[in-house]
Amino acid sequence: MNLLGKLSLDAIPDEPIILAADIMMVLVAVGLVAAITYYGKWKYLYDEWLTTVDHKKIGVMYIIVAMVFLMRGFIDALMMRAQQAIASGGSEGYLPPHHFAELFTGHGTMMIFFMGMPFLIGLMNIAVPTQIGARDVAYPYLNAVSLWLTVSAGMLVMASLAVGHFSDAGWTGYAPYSGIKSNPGVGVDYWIWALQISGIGTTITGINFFVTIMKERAPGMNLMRMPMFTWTSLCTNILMVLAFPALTVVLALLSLDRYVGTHFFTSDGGGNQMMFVNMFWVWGHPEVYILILPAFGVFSEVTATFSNKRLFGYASLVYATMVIALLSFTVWVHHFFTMGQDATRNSIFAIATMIIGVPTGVKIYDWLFTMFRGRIRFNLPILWTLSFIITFTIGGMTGVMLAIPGIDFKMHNGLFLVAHFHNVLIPGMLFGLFAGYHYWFPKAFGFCLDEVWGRRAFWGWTIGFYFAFMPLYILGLMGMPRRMVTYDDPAWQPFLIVAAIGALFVAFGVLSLIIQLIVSIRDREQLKDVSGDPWNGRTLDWATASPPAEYNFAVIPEVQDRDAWTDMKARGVAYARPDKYDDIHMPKNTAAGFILGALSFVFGFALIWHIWWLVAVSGAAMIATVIIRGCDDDTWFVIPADEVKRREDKRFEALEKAGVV
Amino acid sequence: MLRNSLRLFAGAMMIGLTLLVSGCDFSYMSTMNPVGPIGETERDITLLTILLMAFVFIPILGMTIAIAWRYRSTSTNSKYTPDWDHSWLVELFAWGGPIIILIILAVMTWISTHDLDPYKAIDSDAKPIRINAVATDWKWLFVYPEENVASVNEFAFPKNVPLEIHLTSNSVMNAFMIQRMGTQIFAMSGMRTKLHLMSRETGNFDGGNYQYTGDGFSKMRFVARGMTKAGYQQWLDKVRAQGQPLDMAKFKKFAEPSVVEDAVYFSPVQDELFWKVIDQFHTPGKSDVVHATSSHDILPDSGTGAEHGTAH
Amino acid sequence: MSHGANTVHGASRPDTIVNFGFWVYLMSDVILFSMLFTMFVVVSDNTFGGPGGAELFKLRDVFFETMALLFSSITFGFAMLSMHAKHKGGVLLWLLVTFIFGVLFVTLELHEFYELIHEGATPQTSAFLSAFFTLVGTHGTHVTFGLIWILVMVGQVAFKGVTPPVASRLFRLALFWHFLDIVWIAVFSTVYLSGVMG
Repeated sequence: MNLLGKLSLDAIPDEPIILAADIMMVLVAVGLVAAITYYGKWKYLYDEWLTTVDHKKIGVMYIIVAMVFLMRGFIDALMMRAQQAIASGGSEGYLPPHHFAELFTGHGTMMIFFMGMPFLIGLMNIAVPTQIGARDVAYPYLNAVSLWLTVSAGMLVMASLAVGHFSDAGWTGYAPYSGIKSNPGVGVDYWIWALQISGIGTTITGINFFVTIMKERAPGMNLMRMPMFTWTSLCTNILMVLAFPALTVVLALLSLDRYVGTHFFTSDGGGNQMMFVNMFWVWGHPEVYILILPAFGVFSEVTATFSNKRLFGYASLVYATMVIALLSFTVWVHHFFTMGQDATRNSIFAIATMIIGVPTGVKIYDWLFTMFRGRIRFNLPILWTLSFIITFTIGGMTGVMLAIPGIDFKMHNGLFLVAHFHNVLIPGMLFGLFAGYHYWFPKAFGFCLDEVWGRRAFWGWTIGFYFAFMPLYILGLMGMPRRMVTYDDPAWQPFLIVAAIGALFVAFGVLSLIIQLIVSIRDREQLKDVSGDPWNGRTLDWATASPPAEYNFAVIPEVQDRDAWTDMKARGVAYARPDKYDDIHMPKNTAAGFILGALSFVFGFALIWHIWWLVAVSGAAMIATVIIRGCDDDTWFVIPADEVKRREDKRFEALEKAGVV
Repeated sequence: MLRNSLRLFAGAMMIGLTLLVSGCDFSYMSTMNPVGPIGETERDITLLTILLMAFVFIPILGMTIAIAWRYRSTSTNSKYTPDWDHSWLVELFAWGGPIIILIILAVMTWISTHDLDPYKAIDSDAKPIRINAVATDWKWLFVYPEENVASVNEFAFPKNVPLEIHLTSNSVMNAFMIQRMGTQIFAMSGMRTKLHLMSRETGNFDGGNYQYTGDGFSKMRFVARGMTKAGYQQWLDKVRAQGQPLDMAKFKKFAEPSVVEDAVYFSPVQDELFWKVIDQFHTPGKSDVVHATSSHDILPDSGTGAEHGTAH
Repeated sequence: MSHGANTVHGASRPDTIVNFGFWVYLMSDVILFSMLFTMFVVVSDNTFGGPGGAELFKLRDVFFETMALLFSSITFGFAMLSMHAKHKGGVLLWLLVTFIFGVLFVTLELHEFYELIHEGATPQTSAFLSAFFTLVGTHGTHVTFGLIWILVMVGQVAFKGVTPPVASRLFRLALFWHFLDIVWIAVFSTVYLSGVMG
């Protein structure tokens, strides 16, 4: 028996570019470990971060994960743009086809699962409990489990760079190409287990936040008084709970095909490859709205806050969000109009798709009318919002075009499609996440982000976006398929060069984001926010300190209005000192989440490399961890009223010194 | 009735569109420069949709810029209503406007999708030509069952004659498209999909696989040659003269992963080769009924189905 | 309306909140099973020259399986009655009886699988059999995890007694166990009954 399964020294890649990346990765890891050791921060790291169940810290860690993968996913994008800019008319470019395929697969997988998802879940973690006036999420320990499962799945993707290789089957992994016959290597297995592990984390997050929002709201906050971001998060969480099991199943069946030799999606044996496509998109289309709805919530908060005005058409926005969430389950066939369905079926799904345009359009109008007759302060979040409205509308238009089968017949699998989904996801999701990042950063850390470098990032992304993706629309109309490593038509090259220049603008934007963070940390004293409310906010998250105490609210506020904090400020009860404090019960830290994450990494890695004894050991260890934690009755501790008073007095002292009160 | 009024409406829109885009040059955009009826309809609905969408986009663009500028916080003389958060008129407009556009689009979609059904035969006096396309890793084999010849990476046909293309794949999922003729369709192993195309012009048009299939994917392109009737006959003669015989054994060898740059010809081609490729994935000698997600018969009646009869 | 979760309460979340979340988890499990059912129904005729359900399934054996699981649900009900009566011995007894019925169910299922594979009807034979083994096996895996959970709860009841946290966990285990019963009814009718009749 081979103790290492399929693993051998051959698994270390020999391509110089990948090898250089590996060495970089190892150096960064070694550097991090050395730095933590040098500064003696291991205990701090363990006590305050690895074992925490505090939703604010978990949110921060989610966003760190997202930022790391934003960099990695973006480097992949730059490399692809560089390849396509030069690989014309007989030139092979600098990348072999297999490496190029890993890049587009990795880019899509990372940007969706390890950038978009952690980013939005991170924002939800930071903002939702405070927005609804809760002390924590419903299941703090499960929250940590979700985080560490996501991290471990991300680490698997990272590991694929150094040990073996990643999938080349595209982020959608269509069978039978992703089957064992065409794809015997470990790449697809890395893809499967990374998605499977993070997907389970996401399902748990969905349950957790759904229950949190339904059950943990402050007194007086009925559903129609919830902040818009909480509403869109609620819909996203419902979609997570209902859609992610479909992904779990389709991946499980594919892995059975690959590991056991079953015939679900194989060409022979009675398998049905069309079922892979169907089941994948039954999850995949709701996933689009999982990604985009929280950003819509951010835009709603930002528009109202920076227009100094109540959100226009709140009820409309709520209903529009619900309609979008519901309809997202009825349109999956539009991802494959070209699979040979009859015209009636295609038409029905096409029209269902267009119907989603209606509530989306309503949202755009409601944001515009929120700004109408407002007093708009042009801080960075509203700039992202304005850029979003204009850019996203173009993406929406091309989405309506692609929803028409007669147009999709020509554009499917082409660059027009690629341009379209970047044109909805970059403004619709990413700009919203950036707006939320800038908006809630002072809440999480107590100081604001630098606006100057933020603006530079903004212009880099916005200008870069148009240069990078408008040429792709034209290339789509010129008939260029997606995912080409080389091409013969010289007419395509000028457009691809422009797109590459656009990517460089975006690179400037990405770089500016990094510099912004460094500059802001350096200048944190000047950028300090004592009030807890740097933007003149409207919702309860701004009623807490920045960063909030671990219990968020010393006394749970009574909500009397949709804009609860604005209402409290108007009534003069904001920053009011409570008469007395009570003991506060809080969940204890636990290492179980971190341990489960680490074990799931080992479990996934062992499965990928067929190291069966390790699969058994790590699997059993995971079950044991769950059982041991499940038997623990002593998971809460008390912060005595005196201690609460001491901390709150300190806060009020600072508020008085700063002249807020 | 509905169809006629839509056509009338479309006609009016087209006039506006012609004015709008008369300055634009689409000739370099293959998908917007069609050579046949399918591609023409697809171009027309593309332009029509772009125009309709412009009615949505331009007001939003204008409103966004105007509102953001007008109500900037530094402008103190503009109206400020901090508590105004509802207006039935605006709501009516916000929901109503998109719904009207949706209805127009929905009707257009329903009609055009049925018109463009790739399984629907094209109206023409000429007798259609049957071409069987087999996707292999990474080249296209086009079998002309009525002529008993086949070509690789060269898709020749006479102009003004409808083509009835049957597609399957010898390995993974592929997608077939000739941009200037219109409509892409998947080719899947063990299954048969159909596509009807026609060209009104002669010339060489680019075609290729659009679904990623591995290392040779980018080279899996072919040229579609629209010919005169006489030219097509000459081409057939050439194929017969230069072609090597092709049977299933030879096909399997040919189908192994490789890239073919130039055209290759086969003649004669074994009877029912297309069905033999499909039958590889089914139980030998047994009709294997697979439920499809589609109501089209994209799966073959392996054995003695009627479709076999039309193959020759 | 919101509950008093934010006001000071005991040493954990109120049961209502934890149970609500468990319901939501069960709903996501419903989606998981419905995807597997869909897959099964789509490929249920794709026998690829291999045997079909009518040749393979022995309704008599499946009947015993079904009875074992149904009885285990009833005995779990008795365990819950004892729990409400704060009767520790009763809870332990009925949990163990439930466990035995559950083990019986899993054993019968494994026996069926063994026989099928012995006859050459393996998961690799055809899409139909792949889907059959996966759907039935997923349910069986759920039951197996339920059995582990029962053992864990037997330990907790034995050592801690029927304390409020233990009772709360027992309630969720009961939900899980009855849920698996309902899924089995769907498996029985979709897979076995229509397999034998179709």
